[in-house]
Amino acid sequence: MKVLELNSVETGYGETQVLWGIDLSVEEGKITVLLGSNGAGKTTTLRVITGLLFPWKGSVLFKGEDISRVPTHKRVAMGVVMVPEGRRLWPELTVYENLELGAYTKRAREKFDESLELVYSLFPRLKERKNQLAGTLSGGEQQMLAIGRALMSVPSVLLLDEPSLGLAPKLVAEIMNVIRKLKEEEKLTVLLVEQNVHMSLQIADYGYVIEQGRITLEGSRDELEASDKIKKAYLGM
Amino acid sequence: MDISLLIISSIYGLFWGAILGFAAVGLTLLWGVMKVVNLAQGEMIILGSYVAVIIFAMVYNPFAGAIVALLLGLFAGFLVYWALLHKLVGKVEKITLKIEMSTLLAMFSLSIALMNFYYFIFGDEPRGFGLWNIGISNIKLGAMTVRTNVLLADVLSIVSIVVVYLFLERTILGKSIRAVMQDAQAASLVGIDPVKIKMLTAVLGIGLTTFSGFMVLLYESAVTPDIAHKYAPLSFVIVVLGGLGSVIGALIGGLIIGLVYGLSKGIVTFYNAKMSDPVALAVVFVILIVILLVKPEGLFGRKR
Ligand SMILES: Nc1ncnc2c1ncn2[C@@H]1O[C@H](COP(=O)(O)OP(=O)(O)OP(=O)(O)O)[C@@H](O)[C@H]1O
Ligand SMILES: [Mg+2]
Repeated sequence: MKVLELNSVETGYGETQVLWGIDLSVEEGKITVLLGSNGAGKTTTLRVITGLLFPWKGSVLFKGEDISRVPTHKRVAMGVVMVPEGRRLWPELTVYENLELGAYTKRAREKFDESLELVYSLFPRLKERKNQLAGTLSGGEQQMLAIGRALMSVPSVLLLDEPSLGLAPKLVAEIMNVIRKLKEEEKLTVLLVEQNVHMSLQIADYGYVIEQGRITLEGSRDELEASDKIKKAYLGM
Repeated sequence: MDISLLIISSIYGLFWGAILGFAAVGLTLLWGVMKVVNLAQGEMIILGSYVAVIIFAMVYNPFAGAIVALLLGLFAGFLVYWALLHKLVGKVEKITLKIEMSTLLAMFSLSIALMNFYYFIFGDEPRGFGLWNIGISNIKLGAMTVRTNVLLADVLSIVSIVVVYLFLERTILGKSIRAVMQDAQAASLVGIDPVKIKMLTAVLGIGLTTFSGFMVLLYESAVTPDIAHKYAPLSFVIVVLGGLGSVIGALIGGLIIGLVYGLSKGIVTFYNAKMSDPVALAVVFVILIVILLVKPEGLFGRKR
């Protein structure tokens, strides 16, 4: 089943058009990656999916329902949850309070204990530091908290915007492992936005390449890995 | 100079400071959460005072007036949000200088409208609870005589501040307010409706400000439109001192201002009693300037 579906989505900021007809879908229980270089329109695509930006043309479907005009906070209640670029934690709230607010919606609050246990088992470091202010965490810990907070919202589809950004290779591998684990053990559906093509293709089932606001390539992981475009432009081969 | 006199005037200052601190709580919330600088702060304080006076004249019970002042203030917050603020700050993520100027102008217009309304209805004749007090009018504390009305105002102010503080620290709604204050977009990404939270903040902020008018009235004995011009600037000093959005900062800022005011007043009285009030106020504003230069984020605020 398609959890998310974008049909010829066009949008932009003010007068400037950024997306020129994006078609993309995310299959249930799969990890889909969206690859592209700086300024290609990856974050903008996620903003349309979360409702931080509305499409000028085209539509966004969630489980078959048109949500193009639904405001962000209501999409979260439906299960569309994003770990935003740059983490966007509340620095003056504690780790625990950040997680607590992650479970703000009624649906999420009912699963609070389960979710918290999952988050602490994935990231034991967060449990140790639960009373620390989020702003005082290291970059890696902040990324863990950002993912943890999103998991507290009980996502039907988890959108991740460059979770590897600014992290040491070892931490990147750890985060990728967690994402893979979430798919395998929690049956989570994931849309992962990355510039780190090598790492993200290792865990991906399906992928898209976006260039200047257009999808220029799509396919299964194996197809993408075999494609000349990916090899030349992103894997440096 | 008599040391015990200085101590006494400092303590009187602290008594005033707690009330000043509570009067600034609504301002710090509006400013911290919505970046709305409430230029009608003074007028909203005395709105509560006038309402309390009117209700008192009708039922001869000041507490009924206090409750009506609070309820009316909450309702006024609701009206101000939807009539003035929603269009300007409701849906925006980043408050630009232009938006800030627009809200400033909107609140300034409101302040002028309210002020003219007060002059039109009440003139500058002082209005108060007459000789009402809770049983006895004065209590002796050592060498000091304190009016029971002032003590009552202090107790109510401190209790209210503690309640607001606990609400913000302990409840999910309070935490959502703090989350929106720090990053409204991140708040929407966990399912919080930032518009709802901003409206709630306006309701709460303006409601608390109006409610503080009751304490101000108890302290001042009578209200005139001029009281607004005295309390508004002090509220701003306190918010800057305590840090935007910090409720405990407002209390501590108020106590500091009260203490500095009382102490300077005590010292100046010794030389020239007539000059004591203006000089003490001047000292308070010199402190504001020093803080702005040395620690612009306030004592409890965060660096931006
Ligand atoms: N708030 C904005 N206002 C105006 N233009 C914007 C805004 N945000 C992004 N853009 C423009 O839209 C284009 C796509 O940006 P987007 O953030 O989607 O890229 P991205 O693929 O996420 O890049 P990166 O990997 O650097 O995060 C860029 O040209 C950018 O300058
Ligand atoms: Mg981006």
